[in-house]
Amino acid sequence: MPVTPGASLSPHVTMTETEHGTVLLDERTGRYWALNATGTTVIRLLLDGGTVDDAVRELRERHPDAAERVTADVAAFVATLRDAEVMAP
Amino acid sequence: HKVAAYEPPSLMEVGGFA
Repeated sequence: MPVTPGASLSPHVTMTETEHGTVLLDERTGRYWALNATGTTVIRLLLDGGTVDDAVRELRERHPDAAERVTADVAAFVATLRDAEVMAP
Repeated sequence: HKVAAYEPPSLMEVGGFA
């Protein structure tokens, strides 16, 4: 998996909470992104030292009815983070 | 307690510094 335990944001990316949800800003390029609630759960777990599998497990516990799709969803989300260069390599 | 419906995690680009 591309995100390893102890993952961190890229040095030029800042994450903050706004009244509209979690926002990431790339201070180098000026691009910014909004995370939905599930995305916030996943990225916080990864930044707290969790693994992708931990994130999958957490979402499955919260949403047993969606268990079958969670693995693919988290993998796609992590790929998006990587493509956006939000996470440190 | 009602659990919010599942939404796939998403990262949506909403703009740029300009």
